[in-house]
Amino acid sequence: MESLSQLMQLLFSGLTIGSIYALIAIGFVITYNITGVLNFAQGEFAMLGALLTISLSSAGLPLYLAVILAILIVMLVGGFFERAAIYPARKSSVATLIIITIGISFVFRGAAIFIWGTQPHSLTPFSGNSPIRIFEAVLLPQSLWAVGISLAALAGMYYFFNKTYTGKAVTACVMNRFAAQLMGIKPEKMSFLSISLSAGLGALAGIIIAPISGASYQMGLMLGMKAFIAAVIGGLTNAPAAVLGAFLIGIIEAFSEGYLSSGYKDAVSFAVLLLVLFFMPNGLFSKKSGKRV
Amino acid sequence: MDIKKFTRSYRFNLYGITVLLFAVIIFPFLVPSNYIISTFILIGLYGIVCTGLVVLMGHAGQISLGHAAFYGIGAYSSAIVSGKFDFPPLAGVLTGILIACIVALLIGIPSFKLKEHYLALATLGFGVIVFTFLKEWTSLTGGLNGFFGIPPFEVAGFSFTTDRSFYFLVWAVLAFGLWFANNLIHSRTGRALKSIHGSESAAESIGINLMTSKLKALIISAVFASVAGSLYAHYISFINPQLFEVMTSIVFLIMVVIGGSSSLWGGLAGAIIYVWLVELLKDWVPLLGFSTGGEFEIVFFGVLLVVLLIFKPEGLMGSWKERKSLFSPQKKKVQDKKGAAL
Amino acid sequence: MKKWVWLFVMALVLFTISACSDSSSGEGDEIIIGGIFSASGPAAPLGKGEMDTVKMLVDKVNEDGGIDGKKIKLISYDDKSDQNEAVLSMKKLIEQEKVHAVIGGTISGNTLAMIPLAEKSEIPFISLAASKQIHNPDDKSSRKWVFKTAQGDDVVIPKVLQYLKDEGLTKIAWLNVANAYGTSGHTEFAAMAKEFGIEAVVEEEFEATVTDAKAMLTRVKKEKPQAVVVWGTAQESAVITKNIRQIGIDVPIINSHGIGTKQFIELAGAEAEGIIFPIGRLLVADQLSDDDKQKEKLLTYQKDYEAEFNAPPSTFGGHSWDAFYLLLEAIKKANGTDPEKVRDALEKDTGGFVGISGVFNINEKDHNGLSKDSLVMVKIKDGGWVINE
Repeated sequence: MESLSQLMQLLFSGLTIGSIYALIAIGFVITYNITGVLNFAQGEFAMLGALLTISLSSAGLPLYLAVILAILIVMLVGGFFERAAIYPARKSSVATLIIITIGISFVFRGAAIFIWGTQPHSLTPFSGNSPIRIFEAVLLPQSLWAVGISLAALAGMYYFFNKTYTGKAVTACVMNRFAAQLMGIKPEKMSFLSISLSAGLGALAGIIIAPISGASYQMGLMLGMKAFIAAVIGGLTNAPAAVLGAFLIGIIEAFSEGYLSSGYKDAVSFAVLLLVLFFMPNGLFSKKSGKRV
Repeated sequence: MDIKKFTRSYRFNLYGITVLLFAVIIFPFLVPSNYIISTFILIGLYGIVCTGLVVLMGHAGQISLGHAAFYGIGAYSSAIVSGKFDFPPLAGVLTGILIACIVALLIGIPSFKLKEHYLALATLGFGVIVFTFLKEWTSLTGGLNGFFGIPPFEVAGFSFTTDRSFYFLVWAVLAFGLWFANNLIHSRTGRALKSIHGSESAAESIGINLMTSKLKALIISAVFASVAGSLYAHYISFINPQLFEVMTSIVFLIMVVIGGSSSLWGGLAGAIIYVWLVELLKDWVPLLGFSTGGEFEIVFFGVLLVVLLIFKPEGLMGSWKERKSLFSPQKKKVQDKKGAAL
Repeated sequence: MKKWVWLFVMALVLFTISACSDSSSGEGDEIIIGGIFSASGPAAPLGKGEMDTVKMLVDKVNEDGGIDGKKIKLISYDDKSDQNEAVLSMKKLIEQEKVHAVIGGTISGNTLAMIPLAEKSEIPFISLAASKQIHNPDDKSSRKWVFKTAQGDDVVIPKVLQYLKDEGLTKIAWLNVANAYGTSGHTEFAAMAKEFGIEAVVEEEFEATVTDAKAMLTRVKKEKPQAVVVWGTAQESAVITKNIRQIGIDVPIINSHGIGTKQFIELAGAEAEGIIFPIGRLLVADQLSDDDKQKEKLLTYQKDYEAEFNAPPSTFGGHSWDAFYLLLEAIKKANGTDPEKVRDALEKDTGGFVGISGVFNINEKDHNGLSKDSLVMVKIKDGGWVINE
């Protein structure tokens, strides 16, 4: 019984953190496929989202309004970042683009210290704090929010990419930029759209995690790294696989923490990354025939 | 293609070398301050690492996000061998080289079977794993409390204790490294690497073994990083695992990119710019009226980095090449990238 | 040839710059103090307050006319929590700015990297970091010029162990953050626990960036400890503390002195209630009895800091307060800034110095001078702190 409850507990923890990685990982995948950029500033959007929400809600705004406003602001910031830094350098080499995104993440982090200071901030949970008990394992309402929102976001993304005109245009750009251009789709516009979209998703992830772990200027780096592994495990090319990758990483982390030692947690998830890279280079969940996009 | 022009642009210019060598030698006698000399010691150490990375990135076309791990392997090998077991420092350096070679092989063989930038991802993971070992293997490394009391570097009874003597040691190693890398680039392996960077399939079709050529580049860059790490440990005398985290690998990458990986000098140029920019921002940013703390320095550094790379995407030395020779490597790269993105 | 022309131009520029910054160095009628703090980067929550405190105090002393008519000039750098920047800053302060003494080194790693420089250049160096290695190294290397004002783990851990012993909590769970702060606490704990008859039934680590530790805590729960000791700073400790309660471990929780900020109470919310931790008296200054030696100084520091920065001071800021006034005291006693005399004065003539972190008794054998009496056990109650002794 006890081991079952521990198992449940590990699963809950893994799913919660996995859903947060998932949101950022989707952003990674969208950005990578449309602009070819490995955006190392992705995690910083989560930091901005979380801290903005905290500021807005402590300024007296109701929580839902603060969340929406924060996401919109971060999307704007993301769009500005694309215009100012990614777009002018779009023809540079992969290494140059990586360093540009790293430069941007420095700017975000420095600005965050200036605006919010160095101390961590807190946000109240979306709904209550009384844990739900299942088989002696504890599930917090905030965890349900986390998993629920990331699944909803995934569904939203699916709808957007497959059912709306703009979304289809983005997908077309991923498939074949040249052909898309012939059809009157502007890849530049899509690049702008994709980065602000991933910025919004990142912000959402940060907002969800803030009540669980608090928020500070340096939270983005770790979240970004983990989400990046998740995206690679998923193959970097399709969003649902990245989401599965994210949940997998979350669960692996929880289990290595629960059964091994938390000191080795990061090493275990990166070891999984290496194994996946070496033995299944197209990602864990890719179909064998899948064309690399 | 004009072969003569091609080789000339990559050959050392003897006149220039002499002047530069002279400048490097008299420099510490002109500058009385140990502070300036020690910034140049750091530049020299980073220069060694980045020259290795230039061979890997500019010539084999592979990105590494984990070179801090090789740097750390060198540092800890030296610390443990000479600090804990009291062997001569040279033994520590050699141990570091040996381990770095083995590790580079282990990471390189599977990575190079894959296409594109999988080495970047693999080295990122590998960097975290090495960091974890340094952190958790406390009986050997001292863990996060750090390892202190590393003796000064010593060779044939001469001990490098002053900043000036260490400066000469580091720059001599760097000069040797540059000479070695230059020879390599002009050897069979170097030309093979260059052709790989241009087009892998074309290179393979004329009988170049991709695997061994790329492995050579990776091993050389790993050895360079390890030697620099060893020297660093002896210089500072205190190390801790946090020095060898992912962020340090990224800093190395920043230096190579701003310096430009298409020129052999790019690594050194990047190291000079990086170290001095960070130091100068400390003095300049307060002059602009921001005196609160380092956050403005970070913001300025980030902005400068982005602006620099937007205007000089191939790095400072890279744009030179473009003007100097008709052979321009980046044209091909652009095509490659488009291909990858689509 | 363009390449070489360019290189030379760059070299020239560098020379001019270095020449410029050289000119700022010492005239005789100023006391030049160097400061190196981690005001950004991972250690920023500690270092920012330290930097602000020293800046504020320098202004205050100068407004009051300086020391014996001499003004104080502070040159402070932010090492961004990076060891190499700390080392370069130290060199710059000593070589170029010709400082008379250095205050700083927010984290132990940076301090340990700077110590050889201070020893070699023979400049008094007062560290603000905690590690025991700073003033009492295992390898017995020289620490002639190094002092420190923070309570080391060799002072804090016995305080905690004594508390556990007094409460009869002998089977405990030990959790520490996986960084230098946490591991050095753990080393000291492992070395001393037996002396107090305390046994750790389970020992675990957690990351500084931890978001959910319930997985690890399930293992802790199984061992049924009588108390849980959490050794970390505010953010991660808050996550762990919340998780401990959420998962239903209902035993006393003892935290480290790293959580002495209001942010911890905010972050941990209702779960913060009843937490006990050792800390300097600054946090509970208003509850001290009037005959407490420190009370007046503590309240003044609190008032001044709040007026200047609109936020309460932290105990870390207190460490730099102590370093600054200890140094002034020594300079006064030494009648000048001669490094040798200042060092001797720090070692011999500052006995009984009443500071923010406690009463210092620095002597030849102990360059820290704080005892475990400089700490009090504090309990979190109704979102505030009360003395628990």
